[in-house]
Amino acid sequence: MKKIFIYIIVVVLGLLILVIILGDFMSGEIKDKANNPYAYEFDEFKAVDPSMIKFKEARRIGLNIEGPKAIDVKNDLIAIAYKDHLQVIDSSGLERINMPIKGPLTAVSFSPEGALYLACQNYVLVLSPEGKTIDRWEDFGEKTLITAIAFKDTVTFLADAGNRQVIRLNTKGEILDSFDGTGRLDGNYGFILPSPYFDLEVDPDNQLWVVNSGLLKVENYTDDGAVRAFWGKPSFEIEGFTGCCNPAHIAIMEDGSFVTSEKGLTRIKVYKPSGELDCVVAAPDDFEGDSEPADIAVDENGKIYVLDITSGKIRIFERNII
Amino acid sequence: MEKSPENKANKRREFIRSTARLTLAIGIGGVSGLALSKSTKEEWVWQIDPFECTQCGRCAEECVLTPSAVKCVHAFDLCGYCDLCGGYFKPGVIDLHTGAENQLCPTAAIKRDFIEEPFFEYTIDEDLCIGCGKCVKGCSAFGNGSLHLQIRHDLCLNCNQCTIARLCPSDAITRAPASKPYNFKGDFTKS
Amino acid sequence: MKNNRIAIITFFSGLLISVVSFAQQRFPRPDFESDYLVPSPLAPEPRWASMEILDVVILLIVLVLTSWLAIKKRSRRGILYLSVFALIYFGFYRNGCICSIGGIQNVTLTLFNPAYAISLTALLFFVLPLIFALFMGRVFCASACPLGAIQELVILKPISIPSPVRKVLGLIPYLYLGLSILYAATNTDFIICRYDPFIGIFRMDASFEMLILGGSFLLLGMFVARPYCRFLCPYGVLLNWMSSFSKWHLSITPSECVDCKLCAHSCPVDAINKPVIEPVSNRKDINKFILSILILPVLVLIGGYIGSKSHIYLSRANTTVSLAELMITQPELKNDPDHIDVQTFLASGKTMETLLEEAAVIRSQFYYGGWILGGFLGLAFGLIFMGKTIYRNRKDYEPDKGNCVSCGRCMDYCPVGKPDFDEIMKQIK
Repeated sequence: MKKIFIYIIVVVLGLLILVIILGDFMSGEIKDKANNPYAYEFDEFKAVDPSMIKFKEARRIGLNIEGPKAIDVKNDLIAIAYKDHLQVIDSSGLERINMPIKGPLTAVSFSPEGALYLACQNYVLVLSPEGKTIDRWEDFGEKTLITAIAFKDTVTFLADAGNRQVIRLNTKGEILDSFDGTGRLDGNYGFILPSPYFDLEVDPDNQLWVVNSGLLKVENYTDDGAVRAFWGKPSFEIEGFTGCCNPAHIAIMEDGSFVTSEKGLTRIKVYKPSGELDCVVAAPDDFEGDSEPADIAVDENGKIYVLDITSGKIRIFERNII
Repeated sequence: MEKSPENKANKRREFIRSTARLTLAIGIGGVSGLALSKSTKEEWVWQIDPFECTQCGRCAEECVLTPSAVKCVHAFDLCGYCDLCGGYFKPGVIDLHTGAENQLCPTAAIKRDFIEEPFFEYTIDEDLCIGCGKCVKGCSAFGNGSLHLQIRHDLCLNCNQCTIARLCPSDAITRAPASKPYNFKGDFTKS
Repeated sequence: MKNNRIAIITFFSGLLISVVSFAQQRFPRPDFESDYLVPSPLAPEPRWASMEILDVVILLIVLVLTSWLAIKKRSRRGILYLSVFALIYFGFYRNGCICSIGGIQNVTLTLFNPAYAISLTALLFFVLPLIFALFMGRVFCASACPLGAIQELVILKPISIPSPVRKVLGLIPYLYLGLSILYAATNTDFIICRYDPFIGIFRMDASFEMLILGGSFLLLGMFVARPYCRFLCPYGVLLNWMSSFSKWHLSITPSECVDCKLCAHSCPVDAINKPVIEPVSNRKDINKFILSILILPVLVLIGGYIGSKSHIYLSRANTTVSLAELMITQPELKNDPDHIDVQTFLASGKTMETLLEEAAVIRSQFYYGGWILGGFLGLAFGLIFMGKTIYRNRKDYEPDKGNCVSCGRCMDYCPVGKPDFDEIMKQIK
């Protein structure tokens, strides 16, 4: 009698072992371990009220070179700086210039005269509209990392993210002076740049606007480096900027409106010259997940050129005609 | 006696056994010799490539240890010391105060210390960290990506086959030589 | 293929890093005005950084000691103490990882995967017990293997398993060995480690499922001695081969067997062969033997065919194949934002074609692997059948060298050489 009891136990245990091993093994590798209980959720902030979106994507231009970095637009010409290439195409997509450059390139700008200014980390190349090298400006400092170039009359501004300063140059590329933004209105922080996103633009009224990305603000500076005005507020909502350092890139339209591009919540928005939100150009869902912030440029007709770095495309947005 | 059939059979049997033994010995020798020609003096450990990691949350769940041997590591050199830290605060917080309801970390394992205006230092309490990677996602999306996941070798049991490595959807966990057991982000001046 | 994939991934991630590194790695941190020092992350050393050599030395000492205790000293007690030590050291202290059984997979991976090279200690852990088995019998099982030791200690009331059942269940380790080699060679998984029932007990931490598995094995081990060793352990197959032809193996009796039958029921693993009266070798037996030889290639072919037919099923354990199948059978998962594997694949930028190609390559590896695995099993089955047709003349009670785990219980039971018994024998004479 006792022996039978043992036999039963043995058989039951043997079957149990078989069921556990085979059950686990046969359930396949990829199963219902699907969702992530620790997902970082910010979908609610990705959603944008459709009535806020007043632009539509009119065209896309696919890029045939790896690693686009920066974009600028002038007179029907689009300049794209890649990691180690410069490419200029016209609006029909026809290639005008394609030249390798010992990079890494960090910024590109058309001067008002149509010359091409290229920032290569710590030096600047000045190219003729045909792509011939005219000048090379260097020796800005050891840590220099130029992230933007803008022009005002005879002055060229460089945004030096590495040294957290704005450099003013004359037409020959000689340093006039530089400022670090400590002449602020409230507090005395200067430019706070947790990451290498540091853009500046000159508006149609010849005012210099610098993005103090760590403070999530866009600031207007006088010629001697004092803050005259600023706008921008930290918020996850659509009106504000969020994260460590936003907006990553700005562009200014003919009417003085600001176009902003953000990282994290990759959205493109238009702000009125007063700093009040005007409308949305592209919502986060228009970009692939975990996209790098897109560089942006605007042309004379108010079209917005978005350099979608992650997918390697130029996406051209036009304002809806009401 | 020498020629008895039994003795003969014994001898034959002994011969077969010796031959079999020799064959097996050659077998072991062959296999181990082949393996030896490739073997390394170095041991292997498991480690995460932070650039491959997609923060799927499995490191917190699949490690044979509870809590996981995967911990969040802070590459201070890369950190922006931001006030509004994407890895520390939940998305959408309005006031940047350090109350639990504002913290992203499910176990409140990140410590925030004021350094100077406007900079804050963030340190990980590894006793509390469960390696879920939530903060890594937040830091990578909104910040510099200075927070990243690494396998802590003072905890890791160095299983022959790492369970997380098998289930990692982005194949980010591989064997690394024990002499280079970490893939920290950034450049460090080791002191 | 997976290696190629890893190589490609590494190459591209290298490219990516070089792009990103400029942006992410080198950007200078804030210049602090206060005397704040930027800390570096801690990098604790691997736990067992220098212990691997010690492990090999201890393994070697345990093997030598057990051999001496089993063959020269004939001490069951010594072997028992050593096995307790092995359980505490290799099991609970070293958490069961570095292990000879799992070493099968490391050796296989080394031979098949150009990116992996076995460490010298792991190789020694694999080879040493085999060499010892070839000369001394399975002394490793007796007291160096923590899995064997934990089962040895829970043996309570072992029942004898009928020989046919034993033979059938004894095929499982061959299957397990074949599968574990197949999965290690295709870089799919280390199934020996995955289904190690006692590792959770050694670590005092495991999933619920695995704890149940470990508990079941221990409970079962109270009545069926060493269930893992006998009916699952893939390393046991190799040790069995070695030990079958071992030069010096422990003997039940120190001198001449007196056929007292005392040892007959002492063996918990049914590894004592009873004396066999010389059978008359007749026509029928010879025919059976010839048949078993003729049937061998047929069995190998049938096994191989079945193995190759099940390759699709077998390959499902591979994550790449599994993912590819999932993407085809359930394309709607592409729209499930919560499915980690599918979403990670979609975000990785890898095309469906590449995934299918990779999966196809792995599948074809499984196809050929399936042939070899099946053929191997057919061969094992045939040889066991053949063994049944051979009778061997046996006068005394002898250990079944292949299955004997050298635990030494029988030596305790054997009266020969014990002073009292010798005295009585003298008087009788």
